[in-house]
Amino acid sequence: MEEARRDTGADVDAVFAALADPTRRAVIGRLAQEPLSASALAGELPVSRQAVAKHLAALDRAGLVAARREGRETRYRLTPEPMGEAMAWMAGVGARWDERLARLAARARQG
Amino acid sequence: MPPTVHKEIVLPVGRERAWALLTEPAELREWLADEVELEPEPGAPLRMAWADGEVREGLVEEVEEERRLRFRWGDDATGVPSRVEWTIDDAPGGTRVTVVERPLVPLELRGVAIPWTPWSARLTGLARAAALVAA
Repeated sequence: MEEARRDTGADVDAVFAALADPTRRAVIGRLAQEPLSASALAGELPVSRQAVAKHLAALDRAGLVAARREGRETRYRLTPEPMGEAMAWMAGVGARWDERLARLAARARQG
Repeated sequence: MPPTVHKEIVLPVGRERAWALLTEPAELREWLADEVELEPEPGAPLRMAWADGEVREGLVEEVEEERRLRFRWGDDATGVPSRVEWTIDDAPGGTRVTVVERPLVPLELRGVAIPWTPWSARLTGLARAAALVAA
């Protein structure tokens, strides 16, 4: 039994690319409930097992899933932390610009 | 799709005044940071500091007079370095200022402290700015 781990960083671009695809969002939604194998996912989603494997590879590159070998089966579980980080960066930076631009507008109106 | 923050605002001023608001330290101190060292010259170092102790240092990358300023900056301790681009365009009623900011590095999976002031203050700013930011 071994656990795929990432101790470096996940490319935030990969996170957003991963989330842009509706099938991958469906995979994430399903894995949020329980860890599943690629075959099990393919049985529930309207895509082939090969397509599921490709989507899982993209999610793995983004750090959004981790593979765990159990006997002859590899199961994937959701690791949502990178999603949170990217969203958190955008929310935090965006809110700061909202504040700054409000002050900039006030300054501009002073003439 | 890279994570991007994109904001726009229309200021009731001409391009020359808008450029001054974005590039003169005395103006920047009115809206961006409490201490500002910035020169609109490619390669010039920049430094901004806030009363809460946050310090950001960086570099001016690209300057197009009265049109565009691009720089990179980062928090000295914990922040994610990023690239910021300000663009000035003519708009009905004045000048549109566009801000685009993107991280320069992959965000870490764990343990990154993203510096920000309390959410309550942010959300107040957000609500204030909502009325001002062009759709």
